Amino acid sequence: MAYQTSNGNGSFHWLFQRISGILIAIILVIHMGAVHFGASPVDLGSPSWKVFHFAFVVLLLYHILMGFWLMVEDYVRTHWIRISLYGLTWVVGLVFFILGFVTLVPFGT
Amino acid sequence: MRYRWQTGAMAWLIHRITGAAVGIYLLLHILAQFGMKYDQKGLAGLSDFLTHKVVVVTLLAFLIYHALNGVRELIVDFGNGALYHKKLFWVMMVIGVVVYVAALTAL
Repeated sequence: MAYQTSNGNGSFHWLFQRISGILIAIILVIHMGAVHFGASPVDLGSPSWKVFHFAFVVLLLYHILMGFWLMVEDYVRTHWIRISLYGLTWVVGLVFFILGFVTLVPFGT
Repeated sequence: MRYRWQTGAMAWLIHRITGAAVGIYLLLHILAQFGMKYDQKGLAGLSDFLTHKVVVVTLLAFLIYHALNGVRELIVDFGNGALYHKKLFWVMMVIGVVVYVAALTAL
């Protein structure tokens, strides 16, 4: 039975969890290579790196929060707790979207 | 919820645990970067925690596991990996150990 907080049959989210996972893996390797393991420093304030990292933040937030929601679906049966956690998922997503945005826009200045 | 203590179920359960841990780490990483950008003194300790050797070494292990088991899941879901998913798990673990050692060496 579909709960009030479920979205259709979830097949889009199932597929996009996989697509975002592949993209994150690729981006993560580039991010780690350039930022954390890089021999020469890169200009993280350049527009292309900002777009790159903003895409990274958006994909990560989707993947993390969808993963979190899957666990809620599996483990939480109490209706009001599910509703509260659904709200919390959106709040965390929006807050970190804004945090990422306001951090990345002036990055390197 | 009951778990079956077999390779596939364990791989799935560890995928959840590592995913939750890495997810929390990456959210804190975003928060720490925000703190550094806007000079939030209260978040200085968070950066120290996230770059602590023990935390980084654990993060890398979790990250590599989660990514490689994710690839395994893709092969199971979109290929015919369901026929050999247990073998595939151990192949991924061997690749993971190699990548992990390489990453630790480069740290």
